[in-house]
Amino acid sequence: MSVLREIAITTEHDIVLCRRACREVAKEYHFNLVDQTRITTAASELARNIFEYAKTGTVTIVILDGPNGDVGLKAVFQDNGPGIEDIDSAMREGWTSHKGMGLGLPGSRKLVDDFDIQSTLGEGTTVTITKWRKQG
Amino acid sequence: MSETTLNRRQLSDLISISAGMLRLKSIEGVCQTTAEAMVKHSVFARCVVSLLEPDDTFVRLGFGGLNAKEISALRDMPKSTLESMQDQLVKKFLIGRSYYMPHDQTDMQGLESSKKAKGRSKTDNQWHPDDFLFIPLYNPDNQIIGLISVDDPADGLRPTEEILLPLELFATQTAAVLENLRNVERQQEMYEQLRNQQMVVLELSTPVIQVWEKVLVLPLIGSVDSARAQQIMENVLVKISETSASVIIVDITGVPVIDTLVASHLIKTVSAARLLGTKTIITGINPEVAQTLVHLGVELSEIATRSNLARGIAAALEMTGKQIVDVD
Amino acid sequence: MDYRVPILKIRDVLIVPIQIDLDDNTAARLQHDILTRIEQTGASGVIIDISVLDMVDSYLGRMLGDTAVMATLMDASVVLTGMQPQVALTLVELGLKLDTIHTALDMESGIELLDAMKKA
Repeated sequence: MSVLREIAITTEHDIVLCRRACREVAKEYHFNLVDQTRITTAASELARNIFEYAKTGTVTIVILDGPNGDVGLKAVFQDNGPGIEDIDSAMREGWTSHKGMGLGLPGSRKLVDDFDIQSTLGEGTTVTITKWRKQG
Repeated sequence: MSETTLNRRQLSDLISISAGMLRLKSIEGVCQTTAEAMVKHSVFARCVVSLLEPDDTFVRLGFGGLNAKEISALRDMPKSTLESMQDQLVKKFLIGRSYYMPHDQTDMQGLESSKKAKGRSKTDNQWHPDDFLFIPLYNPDNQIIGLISVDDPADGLRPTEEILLPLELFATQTAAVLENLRNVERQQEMYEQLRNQQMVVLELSTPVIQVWEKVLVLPLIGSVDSARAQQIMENVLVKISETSASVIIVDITGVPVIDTLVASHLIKTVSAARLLGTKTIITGINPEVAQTLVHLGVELSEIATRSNLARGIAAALEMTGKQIVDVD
Repeated sequence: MDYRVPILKIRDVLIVPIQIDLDDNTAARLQHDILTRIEQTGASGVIIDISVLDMVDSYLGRMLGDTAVMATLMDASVVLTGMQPQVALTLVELGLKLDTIHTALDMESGIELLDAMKKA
């Protein structure tokens, strides 16, 4: 496992830089075009969540070596924002307290293989997503 | 220490090493471990482990008691073949299960041949630097898969069955581990092949046919699982983009039953096609599928449907400004 | 970051080619610019071409869908053209159907669609 990119989210434009970095890494590791797009889109949603709710945070992109030579792209979205009070309802479609359609969390979960969210009120939120490269 | 205790200690050391070899993942690693163990736990100071390749040549993979220069010199030497060894691996050289070739009875060339032979009569029991000793590695069918070549005995004596027995046992273990690894490799190759074939079948089973300029037909046949549905979606969208199709007909006459998952993939395909600017017509919905779709609560009101493929094609042509007319 | 998406006018149609990955501010400003140009020119149709975009997320998707509804309120039809197949697939998986906006494969068929809508 090696850390490939680390992006600090402080301005709106960093959302663009974050999804661009995800695209580059996915391309470099030969994810197919649809999966590149899924990863990039999920990253954009989650980076925007950081900017919208916590103002600042960091995104870390790493490559995982799984069993049987599998390759996984893992991205960790971490912030020290207000945290989420009710994760279950945040994961339901349509839930939003800001702009957007509330598709950020539930939508990005549908685009990746593994999705994990940890949140503590007043301390922050960490969302971890992983997409495994399809063989063939 | 008596010879029996020595042998017992040697045996238990070698057995524990061969047990450890089961964890090794590479053939080369097993050969190297074997060569090192031979040097450490036998009277022989040097060892080379070679394996027989599919083209019947021996490749040297494990080295014990040799320095880097000697190893590279050995690597540069021409490879021996099973055929060239036919004169050596004969009954008259057999001691136990190993082959011992005194220098004056073969014309083989080895590393030691450069050394000056110390004048000794061929009748004594002294080891000569140009002597060869091979412990073969056999597969379960008793075919040779490799050779352990040892040299330079500490006692300076010719080998005896007693000396060789524990080493032969160890060689049997090594051979078993190697066979195991090769089987795993073969299985992996077969698995890869199988998976590639599966991909081909997947692609063959989802043909997208262009029936007219701007009109595509996707005939779905048989059961559709999640992986196939995903693949179909991607194929269809790429094909639409390639052909600039304005209508796609999905014919599900050949799909006996439909479940929530397939229905949702179908709807997703329709939505994604619409985003590209392409209309979808679904044809061939049988009574069971119609019932299922309604019971599942699938929203189909916005999707054009026709009873069969012929009517679907007629409708598609109409949408693209064409008409089918009877010729008088 | 002070990028503005160009809006071209051909007869009574506005052509909006989105040529780069837009950040949220630029996207929000584009919506405002399109609506203002519709008002200024009385255009009856708008073509938004996204053939070079390799990604549309929920924010941009919502902006495009909303713009179409707003334009309709101002008596102009919006056609989204040139979406790449993998972008369409991802949008649908994300849960965004964009059913308020018309779509066409490319700019040319987009203009044809606008013509057909005008006749109807």
